[in-house]
Amino acid sequence: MAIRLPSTAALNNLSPKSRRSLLVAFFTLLLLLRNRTLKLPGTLLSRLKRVASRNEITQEELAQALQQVYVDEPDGSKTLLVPYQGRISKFNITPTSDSTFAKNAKLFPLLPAGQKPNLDKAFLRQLFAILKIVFPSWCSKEALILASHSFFLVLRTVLSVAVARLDGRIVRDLIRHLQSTLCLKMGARLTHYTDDLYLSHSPDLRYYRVALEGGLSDVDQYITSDIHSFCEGLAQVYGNVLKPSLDLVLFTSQLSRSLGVRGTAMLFLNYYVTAKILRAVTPAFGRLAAVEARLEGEYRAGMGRVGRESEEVAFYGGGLRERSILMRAYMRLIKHVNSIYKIRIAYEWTEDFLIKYLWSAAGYCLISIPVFLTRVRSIGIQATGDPRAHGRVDNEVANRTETYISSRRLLLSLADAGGRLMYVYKDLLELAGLTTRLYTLLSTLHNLPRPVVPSDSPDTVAVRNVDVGVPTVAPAFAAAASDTAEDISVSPSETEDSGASKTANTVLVRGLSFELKTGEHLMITGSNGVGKTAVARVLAGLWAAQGGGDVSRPHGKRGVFVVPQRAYMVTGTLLDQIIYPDSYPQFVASGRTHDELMQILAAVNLAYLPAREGGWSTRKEWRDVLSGGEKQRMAMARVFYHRPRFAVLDECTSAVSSDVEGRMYEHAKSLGITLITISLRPTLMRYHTQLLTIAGDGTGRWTLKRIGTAEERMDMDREIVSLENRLAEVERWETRVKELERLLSVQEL
Amino acid sequence: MAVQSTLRPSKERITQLVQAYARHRPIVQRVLTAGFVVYCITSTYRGLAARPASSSSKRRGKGKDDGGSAKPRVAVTRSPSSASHPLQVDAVFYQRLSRILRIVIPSLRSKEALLLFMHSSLLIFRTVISLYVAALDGKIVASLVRAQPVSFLLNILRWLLVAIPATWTNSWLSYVQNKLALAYRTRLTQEVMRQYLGDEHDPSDLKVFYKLANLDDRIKNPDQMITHDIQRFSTHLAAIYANVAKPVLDVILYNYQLSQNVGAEGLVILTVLVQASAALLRALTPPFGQYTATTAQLAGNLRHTHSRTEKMLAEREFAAKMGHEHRVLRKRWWHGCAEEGIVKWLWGSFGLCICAIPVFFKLPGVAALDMGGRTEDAFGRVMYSYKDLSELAGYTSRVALLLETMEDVRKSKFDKALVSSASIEENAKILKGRGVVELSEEIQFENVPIVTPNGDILVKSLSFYVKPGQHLLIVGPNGCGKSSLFRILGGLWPVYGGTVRKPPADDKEDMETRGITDDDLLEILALVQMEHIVEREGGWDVAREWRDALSGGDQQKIAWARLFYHKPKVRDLSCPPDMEGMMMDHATRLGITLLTVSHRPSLWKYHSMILQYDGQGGYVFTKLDAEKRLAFQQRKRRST
Repeated sequence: MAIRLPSTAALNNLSPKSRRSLLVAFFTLLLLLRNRTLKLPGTLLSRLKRVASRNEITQEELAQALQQVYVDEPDGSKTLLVPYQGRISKFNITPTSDSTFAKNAKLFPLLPAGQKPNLDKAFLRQLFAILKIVFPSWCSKEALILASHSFFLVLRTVLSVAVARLDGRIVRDLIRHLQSTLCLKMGARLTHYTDDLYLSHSPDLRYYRVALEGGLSDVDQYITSDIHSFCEGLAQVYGNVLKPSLDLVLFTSQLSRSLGVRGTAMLFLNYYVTAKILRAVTPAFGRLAAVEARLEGEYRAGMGRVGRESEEVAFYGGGLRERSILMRAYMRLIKHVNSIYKIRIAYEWTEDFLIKYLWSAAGYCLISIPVFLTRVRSIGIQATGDPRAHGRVDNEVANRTETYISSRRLLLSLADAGGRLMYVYKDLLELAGLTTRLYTLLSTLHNLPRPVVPSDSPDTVAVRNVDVGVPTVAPAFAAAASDTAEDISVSPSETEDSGASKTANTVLVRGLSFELKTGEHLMITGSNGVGKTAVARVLAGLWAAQGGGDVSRPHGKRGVFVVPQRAYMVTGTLLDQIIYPDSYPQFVASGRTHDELMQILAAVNLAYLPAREGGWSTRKEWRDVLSGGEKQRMAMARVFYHRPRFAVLDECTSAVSSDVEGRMYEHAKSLGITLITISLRPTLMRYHTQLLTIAGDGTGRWTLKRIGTAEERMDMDREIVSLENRLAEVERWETRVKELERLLSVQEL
Repeated sequence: MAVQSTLRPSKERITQLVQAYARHRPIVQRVLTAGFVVYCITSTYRGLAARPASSSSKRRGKGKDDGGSAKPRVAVTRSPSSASHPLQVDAVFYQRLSRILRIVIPSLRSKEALLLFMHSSLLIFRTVISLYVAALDGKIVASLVRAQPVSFLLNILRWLLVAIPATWTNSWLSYVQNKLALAYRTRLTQEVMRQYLGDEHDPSDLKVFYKLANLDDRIKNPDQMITHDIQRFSTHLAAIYANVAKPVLDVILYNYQLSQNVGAEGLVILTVLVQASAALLRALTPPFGQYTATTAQLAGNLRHTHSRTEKMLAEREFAAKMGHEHRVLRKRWWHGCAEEGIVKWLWGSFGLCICAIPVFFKLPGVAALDMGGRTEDAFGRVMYSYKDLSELAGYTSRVALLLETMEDVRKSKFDKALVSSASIEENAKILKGRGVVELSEEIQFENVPIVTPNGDILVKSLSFYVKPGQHLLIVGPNGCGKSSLFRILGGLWPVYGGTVRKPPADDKEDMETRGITDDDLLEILALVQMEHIVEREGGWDVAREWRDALSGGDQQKIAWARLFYHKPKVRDLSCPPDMEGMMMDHATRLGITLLTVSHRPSLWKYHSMILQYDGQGGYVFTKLDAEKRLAFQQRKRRST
């Protein structure tokens, strides 16, 4: 509770007329509310009945909705199906178009290095840039809510001037409700926009490139947490600024009438001095808030890592080590938060003192001036010895009381309004910090250099004179990144780290060129860490080709498909695993059947999976359910499902037994998929026609060889003929194989 | 409130009755007061009956001590919060809260208890000061109105002086409250982390973080709970003390004054009315605690899908969260109106009516005061803090869920959706059983079933042994339980039957205490042919996201380096990289017994035993004759 000056006195001393109007209003409201209170249980009961009687959706419907995820609408928007409390709600979302991004990119120039969040022009510019996203047009829903919010805020001030305390909680509740709705809507708008920008399709792939080229990490902290606090802060600040400033203007104008010119001038002097003092003593809350958000993000990310990599950590028994890492992150956060609180003690003390006490003292003095002046005059009159002096004194007291009461109420409201404005100043500073953080994210996302799109060539993958190297943080981003790193007193290793990433621009493979036509299979080999995967990344368009060369490859979904080393399992059903990255509606639209999927699974020796896991629509944490080899085979199943022209297989069969591996390679070739394999296993060489060896001696040298000359290929043709002959004898061989297998497993018994 | 009484009893009888009542009033009063106290005690008892008798929450206890003679009245005002709603402020909530309180305030001498004490004394101090300030304010006005400049100036001076301790108290109060929240959070985080990630003093490394995610369905995203929910909980807990203590104290004080001024009748009537309307309000109150918990959960889901960058799913989670929050907002708005109606206007009029009693009936020895309004105000604030309390209940349930689940996991009680085959009688029997883990020099499995966490039985009964120095090779088709074997051996999965003997986990000391230098580490890296990496990445002390900086093969080599560094007795390996031959030789030299899973025939010669799964639930465990086996393999390949 704040120490409040008693204001009931003001109410009791109202004139009888205003008290009557007060009472009338009181009883009207009571009457109105009684109706509502009486009706409420009834409406609530009927609503409850309706809820109870409504058929809960069945399990199948729920599963269907979970599977479906969204429905495509004809106008390009999507209707999300969201299961919520036993029913399915529908939400319509419209994807943000690229032109909007392009238009908005102009609003988001990169922050210059050394920018500190503060209340200045830069802050306003950033805020307006973000507001442009939140309020796309004047007739958007958000603008409407904002308008009604402002209307009620003004109404409340008007009401409170008209009938003192009768603004009541109804309006306040409404305002609070509108404020929360506004916050929610803004958050939705901003999150959608950022999501669309961040999770952009190829070739932008901002979610991948932002860490490497933009130098930003923990983006999910920005999107989930920071946007929320930003919107909350913004909605709050708006209400908090608008109302007290309105009050301030209104009351000052009223007060100046009773105080005269001199008093008003002093009042303004008072404001000025207070603002000056507070500005001087206010610590950099903006920067502190930004740092807090960052530290919170780091702690969050560490926690998430343990959850994600729980199995590896558990195998090593590294729980204690992880705990010490996490505790360090936590302690850093807590230390920082604690220092904020400590700084705030002195600040709040000053603020309270100035606004609550100094202002009221000043107010009393202002009121006292006319009172004491009239007293001097009345003493003069009294000296003449008026017989009715006693009655006069009483009258004087009543007069003074009246002046006092009317000015007093205004002064109280003034102090209140002023206090709020000063509190807002702190909130504004914190908002500035969050704005800077959000702006950094948006400007980084907007300003990521446009990727060099590989030129389209339908039937070949060609690389001409390309240097393959780790992409570096763009210079503009690097400046900003190192700035934020210097901001906080972190261990020197971190700044060293950013320095290292700047200098570590080593070219892994120099001047790589090759051309691969459909049907020519390439194998890339070389010892660990020489840049095999880097070549795959360049082919996939994740890394830009350096050194002035260019890459051409078939475009579109059915162009190049990359299977990474770590098999990724999407959240969803078993079916989702195979059709990834397609979604279920796309699967339905493509007209492919479950039988087809079953064939694909059979091709990778996973035909038992639907039966074991309980059907296609089972939802599990597949990352944990499937074994290492199964995951890798699932990844191959995706290749067979999508049937791209080229498939880059990056060590993606290292946990698959070699006979199955061979079968999968053959199957891929029979589907007409051209393979680019990255592997260390020489046994795979026989499925390929070309071999790219990366030397890995630091020079970036490489050699490209054909596997098998023309004659050898002739041999192969002959072999095919002989194999076909042998197929005739296949039955006899199969029995022999079985026998051998039996021997293999049991012979040593 | 000086309304002139125009209502006069017209009939003699009524006058007589009133007179008789007035004569016996002291007795009636005493009876009423006694009845009231009894009622309060019983309702308090009923409210807390569901709780275990031993666990009296500290906060409540404190409130009672403050209350002194008027203590049962706390229960009156608090009993609205004892109603049983699903996930509401009820006995379960108090039970959970008291459990968590014991964690965050471990003893009366702890820092938290000290802070709490400081907080309470600051609260009281502030009340005292604010009373003084109000009095001073009156004096200033008096001197102003009476036009006494000297006393006016003196009072202004006094005003400015008293401002210093008053504002000091305010800023310190907020500091101590924040500090308290931080202290709670730190305690809770430390405790949770100790349970989640293991404890130095607890030798049985239970790997709760793994089991929570993989063997149990109850908690979807523990990271959200540990970071966000604990933070919100601590903030709410620190704030609730001030929010509840103050109005409760006020209610007691005002009730006392009211009983002095109006008499016990007024008090009883007021209590009945307030109770009735509070019951109505309670019936109208939506389960805010539930909403809070749901919101937190949805936020966690959103975060999770976001970190996996799955667009449509993130969109869906976001939409779900939005929908939920919209609904909560609407409810909140309706509830706000109802609460407004009852608390402000209904209770206000009650207060006025009660205060009017002495005016209307001219009872002896009663002075009408503006008590009703203030009582109503205090009651109202108690009602508002009820909302805070139910939000706290929401977060409490989240934190308690985390703690309870961890407890269960530690006792290896898991709650997981099982596959359909798990309900077959024979399988169910295996799932119910629990095996024994013993420590010994060698590894031995005796009739251990291999069961996945979702109840899929891969091997019904597995027996094998590994003696020190006898490397074991494990082969078999994918998904037949090779990695599962290691998970059981590593203590990640529960042992459902039989006996597992394994060497004790290697004790980890710090690098310095073991006397291993950078040169030794470089030697180890040289063994795995990665010495260049130190130079490439810029020294030993570079910290970076190694997951992205190192290639897949390099990461595997680092794993080998860890093996050589720790020199454990037994090590299980899945799929080693190339050069494994050399590495395995080195491992043998260091006296490390290897269990290897690999499909590569080139590794066969390093192992002396083989465990082969057939993929149908059977297995063969025997000596490995690598050359003979190679020959067979080659013949097989030729035939295919």
